[in-house]
Amino acid sequence: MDSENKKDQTIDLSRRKFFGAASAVAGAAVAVSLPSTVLAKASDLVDTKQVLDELPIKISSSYKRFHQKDTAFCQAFSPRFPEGMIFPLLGKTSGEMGHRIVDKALINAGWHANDLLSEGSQLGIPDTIAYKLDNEVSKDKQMFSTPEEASLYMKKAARFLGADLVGVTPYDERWTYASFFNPFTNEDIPADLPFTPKSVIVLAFEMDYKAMTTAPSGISGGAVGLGYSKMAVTGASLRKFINDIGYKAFATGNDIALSVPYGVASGLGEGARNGILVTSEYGPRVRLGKVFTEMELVYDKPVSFGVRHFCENCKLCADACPGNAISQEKLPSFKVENECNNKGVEKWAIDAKKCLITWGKTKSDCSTCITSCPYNKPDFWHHRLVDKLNKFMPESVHSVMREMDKVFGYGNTFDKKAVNQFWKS
Amino acid sequence: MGVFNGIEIMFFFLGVLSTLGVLGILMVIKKFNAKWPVIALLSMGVSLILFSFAWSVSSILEKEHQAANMGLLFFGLPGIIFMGMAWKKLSQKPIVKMETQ
Repeated sequence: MDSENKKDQTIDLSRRKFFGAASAVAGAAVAVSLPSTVLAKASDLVDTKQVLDELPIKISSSYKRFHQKDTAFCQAFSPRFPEGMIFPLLGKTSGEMGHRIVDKALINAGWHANDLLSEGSQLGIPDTIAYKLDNEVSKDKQMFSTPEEASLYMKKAARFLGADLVGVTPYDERWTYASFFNPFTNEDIPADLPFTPKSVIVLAFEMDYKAMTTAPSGISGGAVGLGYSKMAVTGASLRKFINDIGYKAFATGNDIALSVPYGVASGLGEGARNGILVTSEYGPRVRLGKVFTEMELVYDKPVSFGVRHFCENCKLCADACPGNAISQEKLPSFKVENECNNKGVEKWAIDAKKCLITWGKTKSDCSTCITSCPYNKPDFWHHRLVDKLNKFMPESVHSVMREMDKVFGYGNTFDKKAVNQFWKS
Repeated sequence: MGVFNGIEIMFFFLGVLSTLGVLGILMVIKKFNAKWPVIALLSMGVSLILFSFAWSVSSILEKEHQAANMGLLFFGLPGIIFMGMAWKKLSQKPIVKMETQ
């Protein structure tokens, strides 16, 4: 009996082992097959980005293209808006944290590559070195079998050359300035492009999170400047790449055309209350460049991940703005503040003149609307989780989430401790 | 940190702690013959404590210390309260009806 029991036990144990081994093999097989099947479906369910067929912004039927010289920057150089001439104040130093010599030196350092390659492009001046319009095109043409293949190569090249996010959208004449302008010489420039582009490759560049927590300061100004420098270097490099594979192209920064509508159209993000593109990856903490080309590419579609809806209740940027330049209205509308706004587009219009005057008062390019935005977070899993939950939450919860953002210590502006933290991080 | 970055190490330990948490709940169920209210309280407690750990470590890694502290307070404290409630339910002496002759 004892020996029989022992035998049974042995058989039982070996059966357990067999089932254990079998389940391990089955588990491994499931784990291997998960990435290609179940996980793909699960990620589709988790992905809260809604792809849209049309631009999620209402455009008036009477819309007319915006003139570059109507921007607050250009007006500041003319008798139209002399109090906007705050630019000499931006480099002023003091003993205050964030405005010391060492802090303000970051501004010039950040802007340096932009100043060498595309000085004035930030004000909209076209045809600078990086953003040259007429460019030599190679006679050796690289042929692509499909527009999909061409897009794949363009996006990979853009990311390799330094872009953090890339989107592609068709050329839309509505966003090209009706006329160009050089504020330094006070001269109008005809809005002539060297060719009619077919596609626009929109490039987004992340600005450093820790640097932006110091806003308004020389450090955040340095981060902004570095964003512009990256725009010039990567934009010019991508343009050169496209020219060398036999296609016409030119790169732009703030010149030639409006950036935010192209950012929205190419699916990089949504337009927000603060007038900035909010991306799902970096929130509003991005700078935008564009490369116009004659290439036939496959186009990305606009997306919605709840920003516009969240902005209706949040208003943290409007509360944080030291110049009261951001609208407190609940819903976006066609209302404009002054001639600096692009009329005929439904949005929360910002008062660009008040904004620029505040730059002078804070002796920096401010950026408090970027820093205070709840979407301005480092790319960590728990922020992405909150962003995804946010899409499904009702309005009342949005207000709670806005308050929680403050309680958790995010979005502080005029934070002198952040300056120390930046330098020591 | 070499090959792995902070967030990867955090998720590794989160996996270890999650396994220990599940094993702990299973042991409690077996040892105390726990019923569903206790199991629910324990599960919520363990989940919240693990979430607060993950939140706080992530916040420290992104150098947002206030967010780390608030994460412990907002998610960890309710987790401890749920665990306490479960413990209280487990430690309650069963009421035995005395049979009268």
